[in-house]
Amino acid sequence: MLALPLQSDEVPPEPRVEEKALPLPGKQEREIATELMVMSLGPVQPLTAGPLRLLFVCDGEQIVAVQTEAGYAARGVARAMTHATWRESAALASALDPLAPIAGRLAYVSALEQLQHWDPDPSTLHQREALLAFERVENHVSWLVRFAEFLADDRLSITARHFPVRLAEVGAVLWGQSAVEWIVPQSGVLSPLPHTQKRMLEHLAAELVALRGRLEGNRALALRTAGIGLLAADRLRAVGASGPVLHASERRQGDVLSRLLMRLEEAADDLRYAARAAVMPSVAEQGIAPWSAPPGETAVTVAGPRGDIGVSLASDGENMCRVTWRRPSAALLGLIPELLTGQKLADAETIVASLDLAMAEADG
Amino acid sequence: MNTFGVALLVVWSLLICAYGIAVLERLTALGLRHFRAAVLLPLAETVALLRQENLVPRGADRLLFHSAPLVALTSIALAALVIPLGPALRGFDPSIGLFYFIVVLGPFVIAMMNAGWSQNSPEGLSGTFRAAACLISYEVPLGFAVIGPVMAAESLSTARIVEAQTGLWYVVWQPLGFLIYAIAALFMTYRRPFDLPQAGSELAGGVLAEYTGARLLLFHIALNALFFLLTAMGVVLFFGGWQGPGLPGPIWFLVKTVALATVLLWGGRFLPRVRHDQMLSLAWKILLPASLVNVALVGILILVFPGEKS
Amino acid sequence: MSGLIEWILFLALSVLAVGMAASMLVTMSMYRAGLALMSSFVALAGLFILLNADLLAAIQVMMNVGGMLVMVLFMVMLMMDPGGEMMWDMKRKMHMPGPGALSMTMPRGAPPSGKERQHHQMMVDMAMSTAQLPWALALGAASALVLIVLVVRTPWPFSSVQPTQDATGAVGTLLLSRYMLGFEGAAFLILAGIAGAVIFARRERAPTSRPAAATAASGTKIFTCPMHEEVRQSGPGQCPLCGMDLTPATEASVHHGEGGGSA
Repeated sequence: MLALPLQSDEVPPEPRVEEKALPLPGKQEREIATELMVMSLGPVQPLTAGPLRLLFVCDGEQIVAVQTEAGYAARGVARAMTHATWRESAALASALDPLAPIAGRLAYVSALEQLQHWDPDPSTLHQREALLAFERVENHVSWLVRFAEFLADDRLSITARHFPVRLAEVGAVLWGQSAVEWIVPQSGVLSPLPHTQKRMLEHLAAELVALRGRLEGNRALALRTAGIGLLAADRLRAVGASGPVLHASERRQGDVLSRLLMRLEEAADDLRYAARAAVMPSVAEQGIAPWSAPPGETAVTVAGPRGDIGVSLASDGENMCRVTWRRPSAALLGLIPELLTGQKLADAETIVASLDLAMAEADG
Repeated sequence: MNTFGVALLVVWSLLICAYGIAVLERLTALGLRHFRAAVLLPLAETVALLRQENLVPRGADRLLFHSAPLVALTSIALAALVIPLGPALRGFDPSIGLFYFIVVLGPFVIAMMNAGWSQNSPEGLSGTFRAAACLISYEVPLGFAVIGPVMAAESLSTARIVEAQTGLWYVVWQPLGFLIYAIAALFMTYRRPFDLPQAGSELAGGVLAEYTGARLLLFHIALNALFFLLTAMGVVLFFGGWQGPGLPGPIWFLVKTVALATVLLWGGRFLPRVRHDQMLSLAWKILLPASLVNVALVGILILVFPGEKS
Repeated sequence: MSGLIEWILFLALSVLAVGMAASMLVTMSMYRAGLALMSSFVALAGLFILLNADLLAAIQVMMNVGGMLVMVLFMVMLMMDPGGEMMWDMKRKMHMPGPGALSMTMPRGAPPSGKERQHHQMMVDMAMSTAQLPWALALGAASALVLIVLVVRTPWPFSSVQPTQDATGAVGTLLLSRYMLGFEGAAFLILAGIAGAVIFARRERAPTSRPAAATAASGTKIFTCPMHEEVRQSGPGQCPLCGMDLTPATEASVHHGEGGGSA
């Protein structure tokens, strides 16, 4: 009989915090003998898309030190890519961040095309950019639903739930089930966008702008989100962050509310761009896609939903000898300890939720 | 009816009312389209909870852990006795009816705090202190808000307060008092947007974090029943209790309670959850002065219009 | 209600009151001790109800439940072992006879000499068993006995006045007529106490949501004292002026131009 772990009598160890590694303020013998408590959030939690364990060392409701445990979703995608064929690596690239498969695959395919010294013509570029923009909008909108659920703001949650449904409808009409498969090297197709879909996308963009306007004046929401989790733009640039978080810090205050509004703005802009630039791929044209790369090195950056996803490939003609991914969520993950120290518990969780971390991407 | 019969009746009615409140909660969350789902969901959750394993966390304070839901239910059952359902229909009618109601709900908060403390977990402890913060937030404004109807009816007895509203319901000329009472009712039962001791950012429930199975079910019943009781008392204090033309008293009472509960549940969901210090600010900087103003206003109105009373 | 039921209730409530008070002294857990005190007072409130003093009973419950609650919370916050678990463990490890919580005797044998004696003495102190405890119990029992004898032997006057039916009105009228001075004076005193407590507890600049974004240029963290902004150190530690723990500094300088920031 198998001795499953579930039937063992061992007690799972308590979450341990390495006291020496953390910059805890010194405990002294004062009149008030307080005890710091360790709160463990995760690994499964509503704040991030993916497993992350956050260990908060709290003095009551105030967080004194933070330790993150990431790596639950580490699959070693980069290493797997070096052992796979060129074609299989495309699937691995889209699996880097399961929430943004198009961005990953597009980065890889663009890198391949650069190695092949093939410049795609503008219509292909437009199509790919439109797909990318659409995926960004999908991510922002599903983040909005998660954030509203976390904040327990039912009005926002109900409004936000419409968007993914309608986006999925439009997307299903536009490019069928798997938009990812359309991205292959050196292939481009032409077809005009149907008028109804175009109008639907623009309508959605207008609704997002209206929602953004309402949220900006919402005082109850501002109580929970304004002035919380301020991040300086220089600090973000120093760690290599990008995307809506960086833009919010550059153009606005850089607090939770500005990140929320910035994501809505960018989603609206992306939707309008997609409405203008999208073309519907037709089924017949596929072409023969060369999945190979002559020797060389190249690097490509693609604007994903959480920031710039960068890939640098080195090929020796036959195989991929080196590949590195630059992942936006990983940069933000490193900022968490300094960002959360000194916050209240509720604020800290709001901040983590506002960063929109995708742990699959962060762990790589 | 002998006391045992009354007790049994009270307990059964509370269970049914708790179920009703759970249904209302689902209805306001899902919308009227999903009526059947809303009615059946609490039943499904009840069955699921009953089938769950009963866990006691390691190092828990066993006496407090096991007794907390029972203390909560006992205090609610005792409080339910003073609500007049009809002209002659009430458990018992002490001369200090309303005061008794507020006082006997004190052990309910104790039970919630015991629940959080006895779990031996950080989430529970945070929930305990947040529940204490909730308590000191709503207690004084609640007291001042209910003084309005007491002053107008010149009695603490709930039956007398209902009878005094034959001419005009109190909500018409004490709207501020009613508003404060409604907010305090949301505080007491940890409903949105004040549910920070119970759900909130702590995962899986704060005060109720380590409770599973039947004990968790008892707590949910207790919280729902308490919400029903508070809405019922709100109807008694501000909406004329069981009075109404045509239908018998208890029916009107039920209709009014359901309407008020729906309004409170629906309205409370539209604000994001408040943080504990924002809740304290709200209570001490806004609610308390408002309730003092309310007392002054009601007093002035009573003096100026002696004909308003009943 | 009939006499027999009254007697049974009286006995039950009295046993509860005395028993809870006793368990308050004996239990290891401070939280439980607070709750036991509360229960003892609630049992007293039950006795008030038996005497038809319902207003007094309600007031008793309200004051004690609310007041004891806050007291218990402060104990939990400020004391070292509010749950009693450490002490229970210690007693068990010292092999004290009987159930650890109720055991009140010192360990047998001579205390160890030399360096171990200090450690042993500290353990005994923390385990709350001293040689004086049996004396204290004896003194308490003796004074209780004296009080009981006094109570039983005093000829209490019997009144033929009916208990007031609606005590609330009578109490209210009295408070605002005969005892107005005491009533309002007590309110003023309480207000003064609250104001004094708030002033004592308030810090120079109350930290609300302090963003801990690090200093812009370099990666070093600067720690400052919440009360003394001029104290800045590059590592954690204690403020030399007041002894409080240093916390990471808010980046007010970075966000001056951006506006917003913490309150």
